[in-house]
Amino acid sequence: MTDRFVVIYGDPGLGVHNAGQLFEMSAKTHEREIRARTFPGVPELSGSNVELYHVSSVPELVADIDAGNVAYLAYFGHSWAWDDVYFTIFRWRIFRTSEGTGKLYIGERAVPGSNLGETRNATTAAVADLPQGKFSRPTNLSGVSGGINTRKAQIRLFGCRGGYGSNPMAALLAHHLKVEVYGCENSGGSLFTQDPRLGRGQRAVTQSDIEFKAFNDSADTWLVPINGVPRFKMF
Amino acid sequence: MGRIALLFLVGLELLSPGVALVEGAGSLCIAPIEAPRGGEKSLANPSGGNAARAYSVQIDGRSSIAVAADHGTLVEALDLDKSHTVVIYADGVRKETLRLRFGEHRAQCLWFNALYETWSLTPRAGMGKFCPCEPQR
Repeated sequence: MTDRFVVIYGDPGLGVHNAGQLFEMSAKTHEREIRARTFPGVPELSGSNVELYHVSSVPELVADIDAGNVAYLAYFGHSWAWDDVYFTIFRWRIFRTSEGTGKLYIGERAVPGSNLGETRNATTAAVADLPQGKFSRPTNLSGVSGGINTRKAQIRLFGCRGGYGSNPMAALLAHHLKVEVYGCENSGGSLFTQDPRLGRGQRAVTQSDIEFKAFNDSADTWLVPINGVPRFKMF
Repeated sequence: MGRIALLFLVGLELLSPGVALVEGAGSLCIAPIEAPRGGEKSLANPSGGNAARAYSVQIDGRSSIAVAADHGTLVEALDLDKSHTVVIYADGVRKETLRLRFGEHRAQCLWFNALYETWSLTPRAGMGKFCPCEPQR
């Protein structure tokens, strides 16, 4: 069976959190970039298929990877990593009272599995609920110059704080699924850009990027952290 | 052509008494906050489980302003040329400090993201209906 590259995007969100079509546009741009090999760090496609899906819950995500042989999984959508909480005296951290944790906020309906988190809850599926063994083993590929490259399966999270803090979603996924997972370690939220240099992490965000609203529906779009240069961290 | 357009804009400002350019003052709209709700936090329930019951905002050491759940609060007459210190209190405990600089946007919005429990300053023009404020009477 051919290895699969799976790109998924979550619900836009409601009210002030509504990202409109921008997750979908970013996911479609990423699909094109996988084919064109223009996004740094993504495994080489080398004849594999790219599949694009909209998901509104963890069960839908599981259905999309359940056929196995996933060489690459990219998620576009709402996410966060909560800060550790400390007992403080006069703003001095004395000891940690609780550890922060990462979450994907995939679906906008209050149904089981609309979130993915560390522990199971009414609307949250646990990372442990994701099936193991669905990702492809390291594969030898012929390189462009004729050499042999080894392609390892990878997950990449495009959303707020995917790799931030002591216990982000990227760490939880890497630990459970035993694959390399990349998430941004920037501390802030995210924005969308139609500038390829910013989208590919080649420059820092400016105030005009933050204020940009005139999105062209047919232009390439990227989701990046709102502060600094996008920094993907591997777990 | 550009010079004509610029003159036209300046003319409009001069003909509009009370606009911020004449007064040289900026404003900050403190957007209404989504009250904490029970249940688990999700896109369908962004404020689910939020711990803080009441937020207040202090600007440049002035009196605290309670953040309302049902309406925005407009703070006017802020010096456009100065940087302002915005301190946010959650249930009376200092939570966050932001620096407000107006730049080219003289109407700014302070808003709370109930999903991620973060505060942000954003030009008000980009916030639309999510930052509703009427002038104080």
